[in-house]
Amino acid sequence: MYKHELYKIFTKKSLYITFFLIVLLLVFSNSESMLDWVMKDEIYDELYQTHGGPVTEELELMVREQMRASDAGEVSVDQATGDVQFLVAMSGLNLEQLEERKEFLASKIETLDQTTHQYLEATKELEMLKELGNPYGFYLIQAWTGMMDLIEPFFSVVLIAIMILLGLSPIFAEDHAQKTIGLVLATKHGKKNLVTSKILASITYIGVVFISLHFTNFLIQLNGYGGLHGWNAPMQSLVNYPSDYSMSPFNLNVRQFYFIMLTVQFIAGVAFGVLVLCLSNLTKNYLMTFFVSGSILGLPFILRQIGLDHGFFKTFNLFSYLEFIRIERLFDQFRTFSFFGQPILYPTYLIGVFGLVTILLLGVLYYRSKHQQVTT
Amino acid sequence: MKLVIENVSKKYNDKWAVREFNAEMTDGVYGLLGPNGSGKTTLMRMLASILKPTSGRILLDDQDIRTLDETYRDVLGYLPQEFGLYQNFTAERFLAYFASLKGLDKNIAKEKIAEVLALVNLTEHKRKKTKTFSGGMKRRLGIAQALLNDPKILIVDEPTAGLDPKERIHFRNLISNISRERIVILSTHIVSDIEYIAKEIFIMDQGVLKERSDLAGLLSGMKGKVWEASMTETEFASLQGQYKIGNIQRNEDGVKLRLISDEKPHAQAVEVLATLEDVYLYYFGEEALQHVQA
Ligand SMILES: Nc1ncnc2c1ncn2[C@@H]1O[C@H](COP(=O)(O)OP(=O)(O)OP(=O)(O)O)[C@@H](O)[C@H]1O
Ligand SMILES: [Mg+2]
Repeated sequence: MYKHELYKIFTKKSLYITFFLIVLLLVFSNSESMLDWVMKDEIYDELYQTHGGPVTEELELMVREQMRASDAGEVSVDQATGDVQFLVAMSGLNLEQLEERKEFLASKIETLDQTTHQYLEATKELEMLKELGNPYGFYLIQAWTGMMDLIEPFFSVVLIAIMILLGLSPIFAEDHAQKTIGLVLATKHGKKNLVTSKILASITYIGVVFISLHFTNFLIQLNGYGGLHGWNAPMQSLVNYPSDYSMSPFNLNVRQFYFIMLTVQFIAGVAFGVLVLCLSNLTKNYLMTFFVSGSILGLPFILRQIGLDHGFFKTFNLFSYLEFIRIERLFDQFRTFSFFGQPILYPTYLIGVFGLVTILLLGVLYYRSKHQQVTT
Repeated sequence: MKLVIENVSKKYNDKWAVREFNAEMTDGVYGLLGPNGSGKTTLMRMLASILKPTSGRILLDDQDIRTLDETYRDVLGYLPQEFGLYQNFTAERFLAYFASLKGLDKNIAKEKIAEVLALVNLTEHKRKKTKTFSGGMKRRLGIAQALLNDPKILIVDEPTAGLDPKERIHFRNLISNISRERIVILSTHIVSDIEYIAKEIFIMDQGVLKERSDLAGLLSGMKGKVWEASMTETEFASLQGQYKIGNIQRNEDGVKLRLISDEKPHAQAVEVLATLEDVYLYYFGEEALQHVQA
């Protein structure tokens, strides 16, 4: 069954056409945007020798002196050197800020009652920040920035969502459109095991889309930035818009962070896929599924566009499929939500919530399939 | 095996499609006969467990088919009146898919697929995509699908619709051959489909079981009711509307009629032996019969 369900998905030509267009888009958009800060030239290797690694007081003093000199016109520096100097200086500032934040938290904790939520939250943050050590400095990590770029921005959510919607909307609806439902439901496994097969085939499909998309991007970035240096750098040194993680409290290096992001985004994709499957089963209609699930995904975006992003709506928007797949805001700052008074990190909470939602949707899916009737 | 339909009713909105239907079936072919809208499809869907009765139960060997669930569907073969195929599948893949849905072992599936393809004469088309199939070929593939798991209960809803006369005869022989040791329930508009193979015939009208009997029983009930008479056009015109009229043949002398009447309808009328078609005419009238012949 599983094999045949996969066959049904992967023989849809529209998916290949769409994927091909997406790849074209990626190649094109990268050849446009990559030009500014590639860090591929030899000079960066040299600069890394002199300026790279975690920022230190000596390094900071050194670049300040260099910057002062060039500002005063005493020496002339090239663009690359100037940029790197600036980066090192900024790292120094960031490190200062981090230290200030830790001091602030430590003194705040002193004043707080140990049973309050604020106390728990502040201790949690302080612990995480202490783990970080010194995560700032100049690293050759532009290829990773490029790879993350695909995961994060709204644009990539659209790409993944379109592939999921196109691939999964027909899965249950198709049996109604093709009028095979009567045949299927009267078979031994047509009301239960078939659902499992369809779910597994869908997850496989999402996995394949995922791997193809990210692998393609990986190759493009590798080609563009010429290497995978910097995988060991702390994630806080990812400071380029839109992936500015300088204020992130997570103690991860770039590579670890990359794989965590991929994993979380894959889980999010599967959660969204289950929603699509459920709607495909409920509406019995391909286009309806496409638009309803598309709307559910896009709703927070619309709400933000019209300014509904405070109070309840803020939480609502944060706990949405959109944010889940988008990931960008999951790891960029310390943010917790209360679970019976316990502060739980936002990404953990989000995964928990969608875990529950997904289990619920799966329940609906199995229940509906078992009790489905044919009247037309 | 014993299949019992116990007081089964189905209501759509405020219309009863099937009403308090009772029947008991053991191995053999059962023909379900009735005009359009009489509830055949609705009844068969309930038997196929894809529609829930509004009230009543269906029992297989004294167990409710709803509780039997997969165990019931394991012995079920069903061909709906209207169905589709996966357009991009070849006939072979389509059957392989249903073999897996029916839980057939891989090796057995291979054999069974070859077997049912041969049974419905589709072996040479097995590599063709189903979207290229004609109506008759689709229906035959549907029949093949229903037979894959060697069902103990075979429910086929107007299986001969869209088949040409040769295919129809072939199908009738097929059903007749496989009907030992299984319950076959077959609905049709075409009386000759079941005339000689049905162990029992259910006559359904407006959701209600009007009559159930074997062919001989139905025919003997028609004794003294079927007549043939030759008459002039004017005489024919005066008879029309009074009787249910079957076959009409015109020649130079006038009209030769076959009609249903409790007493002798015309001086020259002679009583003739009834056929199942007359039974149909008797219960459902001319309009229904015209559908049959159309
Ligand atoms: N989904 C439905 N909603 C409402 N009424 C329905 C529905 N399906 C069937 N009916 C009604 O139930 C009655 C029985 O329909 P059914 O299809 O069972 O008859 P049938 O004997 O199979 O007819 P046919 O010979 O045309 O196939 C009809 O009056 C029909 O209009
Ligand atoms: Mg019908």
